[in-house]
Amino acid sequence: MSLLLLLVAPGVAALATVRVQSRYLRELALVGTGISLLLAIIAAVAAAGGAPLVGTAAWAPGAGLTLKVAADGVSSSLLVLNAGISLVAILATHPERMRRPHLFMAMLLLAQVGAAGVLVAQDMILFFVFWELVLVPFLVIIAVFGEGQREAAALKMLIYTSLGSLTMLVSIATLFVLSGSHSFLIEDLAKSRFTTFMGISTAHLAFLGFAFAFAIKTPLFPFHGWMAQAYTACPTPALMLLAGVVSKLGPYGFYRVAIRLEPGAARDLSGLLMTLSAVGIVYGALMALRQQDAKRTVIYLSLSHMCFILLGVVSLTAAGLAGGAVQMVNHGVLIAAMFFIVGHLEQRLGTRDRGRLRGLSGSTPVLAGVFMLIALATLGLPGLNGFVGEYLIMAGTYAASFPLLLLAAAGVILAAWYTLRLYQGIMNGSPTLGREEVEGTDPARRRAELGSPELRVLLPLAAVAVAVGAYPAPLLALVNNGVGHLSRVLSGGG
Amino acid sequence: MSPADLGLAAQVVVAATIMVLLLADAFVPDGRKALLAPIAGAGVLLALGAAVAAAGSGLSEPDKARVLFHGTLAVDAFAIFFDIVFLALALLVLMLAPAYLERRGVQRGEFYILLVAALAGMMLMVSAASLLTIFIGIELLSIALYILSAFLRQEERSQEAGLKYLLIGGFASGFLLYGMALVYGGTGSTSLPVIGAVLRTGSGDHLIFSLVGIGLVMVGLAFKASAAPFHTWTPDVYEGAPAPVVAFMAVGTKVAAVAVFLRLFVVTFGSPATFSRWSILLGAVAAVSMLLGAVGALRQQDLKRMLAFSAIAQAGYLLLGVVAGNRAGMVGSLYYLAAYGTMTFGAFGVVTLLARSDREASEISGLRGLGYRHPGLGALMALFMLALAGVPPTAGFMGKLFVFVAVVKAGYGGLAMVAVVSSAISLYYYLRVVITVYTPAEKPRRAHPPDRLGTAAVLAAGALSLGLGIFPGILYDLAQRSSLL
Repeated sequence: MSLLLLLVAPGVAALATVRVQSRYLRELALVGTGISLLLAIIAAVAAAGGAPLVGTAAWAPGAGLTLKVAADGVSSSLLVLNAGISLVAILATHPERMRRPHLFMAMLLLAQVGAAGVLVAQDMILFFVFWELVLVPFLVIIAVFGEGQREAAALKMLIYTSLGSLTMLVSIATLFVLSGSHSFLIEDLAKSRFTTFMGISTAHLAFLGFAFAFAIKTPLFPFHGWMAQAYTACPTPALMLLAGVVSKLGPYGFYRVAIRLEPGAARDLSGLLMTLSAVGIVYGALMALRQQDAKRTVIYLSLSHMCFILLGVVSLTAAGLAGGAVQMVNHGVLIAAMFFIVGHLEQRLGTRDRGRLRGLSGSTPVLAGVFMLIALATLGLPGLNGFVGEYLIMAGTYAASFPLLLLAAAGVILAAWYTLRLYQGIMNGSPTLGREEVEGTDPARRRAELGSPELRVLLPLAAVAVAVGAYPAPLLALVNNGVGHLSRVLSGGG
Repeated sequence: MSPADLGLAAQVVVAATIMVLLLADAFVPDGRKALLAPIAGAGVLLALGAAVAAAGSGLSEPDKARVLFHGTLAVDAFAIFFDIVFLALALLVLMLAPAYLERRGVQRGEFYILLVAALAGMMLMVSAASLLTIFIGIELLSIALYILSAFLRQEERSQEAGLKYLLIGGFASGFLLYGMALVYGGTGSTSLPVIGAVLRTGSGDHLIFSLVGIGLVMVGLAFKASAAPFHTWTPDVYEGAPAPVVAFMAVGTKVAAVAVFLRLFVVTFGSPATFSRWSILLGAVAAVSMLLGAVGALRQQDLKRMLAFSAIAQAGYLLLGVVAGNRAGMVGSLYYLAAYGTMTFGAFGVVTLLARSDREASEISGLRGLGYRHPGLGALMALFMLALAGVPPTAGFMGKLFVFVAVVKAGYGGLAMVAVVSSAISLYYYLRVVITVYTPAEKPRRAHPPDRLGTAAVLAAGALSLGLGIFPGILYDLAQRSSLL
């Protein structure tokens, strides 16, 4: 019941945006999301206590559809992330400064509903419905509120994602027919007896259909073609949600659907997916090094790290799965902060060119401090949250393949390089922008230093980074709760 | 009244409405012909009530269905399902059309008479228990639509549409009739149950006649369903014909044709000896339709032409359930046909509401900024496009899902892949419209206020497109009870 409410609260707020005055828009969204966050925390507590929340209702029994929702440890940790990032993204939105704020806010809330729905759905059609629901708001946001070649970016994202959705739909239909149980529930689809189609096992085909969809969403190298353009065009608050939460639905899909439904095929194809992930880590890192644009550096940083998360998940080891799940939360927090900082600088100083942004730390000590913390956490400094998952993923990869571990390690070293270069380039050195450009003659408008509206966004994220880094045990215990079951499925043969 | 009587009453009421309209037209003065719309509407509403009552009174139980008039007319749950679809469609068109006709200056009584006549044709087609009844139904439907297509008499394009439709439609009728003659020659009967029984015994010598006949009937029906490669008339006719007529025929003709496919091919021609022959052919027709329609729509700048190509692709999806030939395919087809009706009517309905007094509002670029000029209409247009594209949680998605599952179940994995490729292509042109609707216009245009009744009709279609997707159980259960298998 409370899981359904968790979906409904932001949805109702999204509908209500049509009628509300624009100055109350943010409050409305905050209330809806706040309720959702509260319920997500309840779900997490329940899952940690070993009694995950489950809800079932009839949908269309004749057609084999069931409204079943549940939140295990992995789901509920991501639910909290989803609501939390949505909350700060809403705080980062300034309805009074934009055109069509109602549409923007409604889309932000809708995206949140979609992501939460994907995270709790236990019926594959329900999963698919929410999966598609997530896409629509981002298309609208990029096409209407984006910058640069926004329509092209939106269409590209649409085409990539939809191709994945369609292969997923075929996989669902195949499993539905093969399982013969006339139900789309994940647990029933898992009973499929596989045959061969044109000489290939249907288990492998179905797994690939799912994997393709999830790889595009993540995005996994080489399915990332839509990402740079869409992320670049996406406005900051939406990007925080897109990079912070929605990209996690890819690895989550592997965890919840692809591996769960065809563990055998997953084992056979694990090597291929791990190799792609490892190559993606290095590719993303090298691309990040090449960028002059700070936003694009962070975009490729995100690509590299997402491939890292996927590496852990598809290693199919207990450590890798747990590390991937933990890192999803951590990366979500950190990447949202990173994109916020870059967006903040661009908005205040009118550029995100690393060559023009130099030596800001003298004028912006608070920003420099927070940025430093986030950057260090991102590159995996022990004691901050990025390290926890990274270590587990490395351990899991080591158990599966040593050469790939070396590649991944190379990626980590490169990560230190480009992350620090990004930080140092912007903060240290002799300033290229004049002092009045950075501090501004009109202090209210142009100062690049963080004010209290920005701190409201960044401090919670930074606090999570420090807290999880210092005391990761609760989060680990929470995700292990969910990962344990999948590990048993994997070891139990299938 | 027994359920079958109620079902028959629906048809009788529609036929009587034509007579009443013919008489009324003689007494209503020029300039006040819009009065015929409520008369027609009342008749259709009465018939709809009878049909719904028939469906609700347990017609789905096998012993309640009846074959009447010496085996020519079947009143069963299958027929009633489609009667409801057609009657609801006609009702919505009657709400939509009067203001449009007024604006375009062609408010004439014939429109309503022909519309109800076409409706009677559709209803006859889906209840046909004999080849001849099918033919009579198709001709009644087609002849009315030839005239309606050319109803904007002052416009060359509309005349061109009517003429093209007449010529090619006549050609298709020829194929159909010749095919029926051969089937009659091969089996010795025009009654569908008898033909089915003869084909099941597989009496060898005459099978070849029947097979050629089945092939020709398929060609004739594929013309009507605008399936490739018999689709060439579709873009021109849709482009030229008045928008509310297109809303009516894009749904009605196609749904009726596919319904006949279901009854005639899946059931009557469904014997193992014949099924294996035609299902491959029809599978090819479906595949070609899906691909040609999707690719053809990509480059269209005219909204009505784009929707025409999309309708060709949709014909391919609709035929998937026929090709599957199993119960899942039948039920999936019924669901998808009804869903297709709501979203296609809706899309053409929006085009109708946007039509200006001097021309149709059919360039896609003309929709730019619609989402801000008319937030309601813009949102509806976006919804119909998403539904046609099969994006959840719309009825279009559920329909596609059910026929996909049926096709996979029947073992046509390749056909499912073609459907996937076509759907992927189709997303591009459907969503291009959505993005256009929400792209701010360069120079804001003055918008004329859309009429209330027409908007209500389109809104109803929108509510159905969304509601049947979120709660698919209602329609799915009805489809299950109305299945012929």
